Amino acid sequence: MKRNKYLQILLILVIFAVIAYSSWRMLKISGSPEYRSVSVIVDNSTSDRWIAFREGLEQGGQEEQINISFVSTDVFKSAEEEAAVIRKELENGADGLIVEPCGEEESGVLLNALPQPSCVLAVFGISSDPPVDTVQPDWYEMGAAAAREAVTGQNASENREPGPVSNGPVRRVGILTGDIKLKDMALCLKGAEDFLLDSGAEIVWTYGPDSVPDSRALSDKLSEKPADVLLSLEDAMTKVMADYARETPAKCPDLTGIGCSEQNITNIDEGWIRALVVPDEYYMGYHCVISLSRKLGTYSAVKETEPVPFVIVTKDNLYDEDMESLLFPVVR
Amino acid sequence: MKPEHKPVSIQIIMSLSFTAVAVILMLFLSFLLYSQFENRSREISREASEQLLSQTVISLEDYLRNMRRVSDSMYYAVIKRKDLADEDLREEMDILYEANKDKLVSIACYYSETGELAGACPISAVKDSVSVKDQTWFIQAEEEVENFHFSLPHVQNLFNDPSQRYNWVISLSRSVDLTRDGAAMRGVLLVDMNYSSIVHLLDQVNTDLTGGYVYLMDADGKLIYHPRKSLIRMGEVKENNLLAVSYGDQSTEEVFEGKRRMVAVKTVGYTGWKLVRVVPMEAFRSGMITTRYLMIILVAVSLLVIILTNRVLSDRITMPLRKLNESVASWEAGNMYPDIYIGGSLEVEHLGRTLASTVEQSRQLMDDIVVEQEEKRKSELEALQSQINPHFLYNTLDSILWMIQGERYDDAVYMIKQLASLFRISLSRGKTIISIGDELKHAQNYVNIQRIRYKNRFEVSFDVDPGMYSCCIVKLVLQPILENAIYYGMEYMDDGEGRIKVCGHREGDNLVLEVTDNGPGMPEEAAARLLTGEEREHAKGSGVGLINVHNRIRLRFGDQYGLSCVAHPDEGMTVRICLPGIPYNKENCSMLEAGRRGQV
Repeated sequence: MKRNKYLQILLILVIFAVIAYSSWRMLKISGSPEYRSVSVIVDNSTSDRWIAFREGLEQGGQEEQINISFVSTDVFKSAEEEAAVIRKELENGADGLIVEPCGEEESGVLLNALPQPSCVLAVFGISSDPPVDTVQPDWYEMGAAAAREAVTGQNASENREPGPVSNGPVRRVGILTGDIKLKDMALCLKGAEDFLLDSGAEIVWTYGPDSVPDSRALSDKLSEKPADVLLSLEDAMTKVMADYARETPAKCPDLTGIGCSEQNITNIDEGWIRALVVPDEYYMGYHCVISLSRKLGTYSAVKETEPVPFVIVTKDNLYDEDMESLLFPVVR
Repeated sequence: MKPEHKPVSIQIIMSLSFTAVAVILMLFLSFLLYSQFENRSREISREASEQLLSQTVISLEDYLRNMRRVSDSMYYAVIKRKDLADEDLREEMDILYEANKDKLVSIACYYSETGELAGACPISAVKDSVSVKDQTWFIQAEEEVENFHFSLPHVQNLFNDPSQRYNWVISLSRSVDLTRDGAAMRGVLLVDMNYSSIVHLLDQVNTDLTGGYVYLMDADGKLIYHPRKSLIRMGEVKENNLLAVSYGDQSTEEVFEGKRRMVAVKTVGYTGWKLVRVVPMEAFRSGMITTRYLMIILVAVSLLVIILTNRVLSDRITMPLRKLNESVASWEAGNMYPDIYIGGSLEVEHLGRTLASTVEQSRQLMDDIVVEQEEKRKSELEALQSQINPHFLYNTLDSILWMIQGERYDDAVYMIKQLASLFRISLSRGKTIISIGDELKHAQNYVNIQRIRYKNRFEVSFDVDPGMYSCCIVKLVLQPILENAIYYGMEYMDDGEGRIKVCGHREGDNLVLEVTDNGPGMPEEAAARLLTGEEREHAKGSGVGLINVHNRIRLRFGDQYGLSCVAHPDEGMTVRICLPGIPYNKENCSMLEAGRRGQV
């Protein structure tokens, strides 16, 4: 009799447990989905070079239920300045960060400020292997592809074979770079130089000032040592190069560059630049969010690197269907 | 060894049975209800999808109709009426553009033959490098002159925009008749619709957070709008548009990329475009999860209520039975005066009453048995006492002594023989049941002795059916009656006048023995009292009353047997003995000795 009583009490307790669990699950399901918030910190956030990147971020945020906060920033003067913004965002309750390091960061101030488990670097310029996940193009490959396009005028496919390019004369190449102390830029330059040396082209000079010069500086450089081809490895330098072409179309050598801003797309469209190597920044932004979402979900410490593809844009393929989608992701 | 089965209480059985039946019924109903609800929800979802598509298609058609009107207005109201050699189209184009500039990017008209621009708005600076004749919208308009042609979305590549903007457009082109210098020629009218209007319209539809979405494709299945178009371009996701284009305007369930989903298609008028609504079944199922948990809660709560209700109900229903059981248990424990519960339902109350009656009867029976045993013991004792009545023995022996002293040796021998026979039968090896023959012999021995003692003052005759001799009788029945007859009847009779008659005959299955004397008798009331135990005065005699004989007969043979007295004052008295006609044999004797008269 007593045993039956205990069994009944046990049964009632089990039923209560089922009711409690089901109610909890129901409330959890019926509640609004939990959105996490991620802050994106890039240098000069209003620049049009971030349009595609930002679109990718927003698409990723939509897919992964993440609120993307694109922090308004000016041009960072130092890593400390960017680290301060990172700290502020963390204080404001950001669940994760997507950061584009503003430049060389030897002191470690920036990297120390990063919350490693919930941070992804969208890398355009960093001096060493970061301790957090990175999403970046294969800089060496991109430099090599740009160099190939510069000396051959042919699309550099991913399946290109190494070695000298057989068609066309050996040409004098002037290279414009960003800050070569940064690892990505150094890799990009190395890729370009290796290809150019293999192809037999002559690198007449390599120009990488600390700050973005104007077209006159480039003019001086060319006056000093003329080049048949100018190869720019950075978006801002590609603009400078195009500005120079506009100003002195007659004297301007053949221009090839790396970039992704709308201004440089226009430069291609208008014919000032012959070819432009464009990393798929939409893809980059999207994968930054996906990568960060995985980390926020699993807190995995495993480093993951998503190589960002790139395309070579010329005036001929600018309005191809796939190219349009990549270059103009935003419908105005 | 077989495990001992421990019985379960009726309340538990009842409670469990009710609960089990209720649970089975409830689960069955819940399953049925859930299935119905799921089907209905799916139907509602399907209807909602189709309704959403219909409304969106109406908006889309409205937008496209407006664009066609712009084209029609431009063609029929402007181009057809103008000679382009003298007049330009700019002013009218500007008006139309301004009126629709939120939906339009540009309006342009080209000569078919040369691809030269006849007029454009808002920008008319044509890119040098662009050949319109190679553009798809131009080729389509030239190939099918009667129709409007809607291109896929693309970035407009016609004009040098000083603002360096790149606009996504859908080109609406048609072949038109132009007039220049009075000569008719063909041209192509282009209305570049703002693609963002369509994107905006469809983005508003795509706010479903459960995973459902809407996309738009042309008649060949090429995507015009898709909320994840860039991801499709990147290869991150895939869409089943090439198969969906073959679906009719209806809802279909398909499996794509291993996932089931519901696809509703609606064709946009005139363009052949198809608007597609995709709802993953997973999203639908996740919507049903809430319902599933709600059902679980309802079932659990109902189960709880049922268990508690069953507990209370079974407690109330079985309470009378349990109380009755407690009464039985108390009785079983030896309480001869248990408090028997009488109540509850009709059946239980009946059981209670029956039990109470049974207990009462049992108690009465026990009392009776006790009394009976006591009576038996007493009567046996009295019978034994009668066997060794010291007065009788003394008187008889005294008579024998006198006979010997009086040298009446033959009489003395006769007397001793009679006494020996009497005692032999009296003892009967301890038996209580003897044959009537023996009983008669015993009676004869007795009266023979008494007659000698009374010097033959009375006569005794025996007239018994010899067929009765071999029937059973309780021993020493006749002797006390004869003793009474002698002491109370013959005492006052003159010599030779006293008469005692012993008769025996059958009456049906019964045997009747009668002892009749012609003594003074007694009043009827006194005779009646002889058998009630009230008349126990033994002035003389062996001290064994008729009542003792009467009781002994009833104890052995039943209440319907025994003595009855018929008294006639001054005329004598008859004592009638009624016995069952039981043959005297070993089995019957054993049964009757053991008190199991019912089995005889």
